[in-house]
Amino acid sequence: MTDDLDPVWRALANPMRRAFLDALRRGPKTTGELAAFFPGVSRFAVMQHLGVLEEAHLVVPRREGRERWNYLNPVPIRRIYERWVSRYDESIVSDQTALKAAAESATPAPVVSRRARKSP
Amino acid sequence: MIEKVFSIDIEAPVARVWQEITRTNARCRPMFGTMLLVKLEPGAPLRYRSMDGKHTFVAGEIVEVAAPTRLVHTFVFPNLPDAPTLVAWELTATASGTRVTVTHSRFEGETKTYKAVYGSWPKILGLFQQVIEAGDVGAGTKFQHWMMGAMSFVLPKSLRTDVVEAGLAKRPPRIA
Repeated sequence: MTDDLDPVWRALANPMRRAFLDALRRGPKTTGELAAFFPGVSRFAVMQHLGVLEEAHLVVPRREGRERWNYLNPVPIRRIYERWVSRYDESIVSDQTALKAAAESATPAPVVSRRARKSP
Repeated sequence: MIEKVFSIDIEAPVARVWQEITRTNARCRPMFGTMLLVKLEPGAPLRYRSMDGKHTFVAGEIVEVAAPTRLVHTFVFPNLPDAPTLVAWELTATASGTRVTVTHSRFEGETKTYKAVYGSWPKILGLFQQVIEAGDVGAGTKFQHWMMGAMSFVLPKSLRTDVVEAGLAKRPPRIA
């Protein structure tokens, strides 16, 4: 299974690129519109950031005449969520369940976290 | 009008991905365990139904087919009053397989349809990737589908296939 999220993390590591994604969340924008949104950033830098976002598949470009429309693709964010949020959430829940069971039982069972149990 | 794009890379040839997306009369795990009923030709009706056929969750009409790379169909939730929307599937060959891009457009604002599908497409595409690359979905997803089947008696009458079809006969899921 493809699980190469490195380009996504790399793209998200930059605050300007995260701001781009927030701007695109409201709807697709042309590169010119995006540049106008961030007046302090050079056109060249905007295009470079868009390149990194496209590489990570977070932005899908569409050509229309001479314009390049940039669409946000939320799918990689979902994959980050599934890999790094929901899995860890689950272990927190199960740890809490173990804690509750231990607290309620007359002879407390040792509370061992899922990660600790897994490691040799 | 709102237009949204959802895209994923799947490590399989275009023909294989197309086959999975357009498979009819069989349970489609990525699509909430429903089955697709469709004839792939322009103007033909498209339905996503429960496995027993008693409920219809999504209805539409084929607008354009170019196997194995492009499928465009209208899309309505029969129990919602929203105007028909448009779904375009595009499959392009990449170095490692296929890039699947779904463009869902013609939402008249942040409608109920919009809100329902926006969070669902990333999940659906992720499950197509799982089915195609790993051969199946996880036990959790299957359990969810089993539960949905077992709980079908709670579904509103407006999703019953006879009710849905009567409504669609009066108001075809077509974009003017």
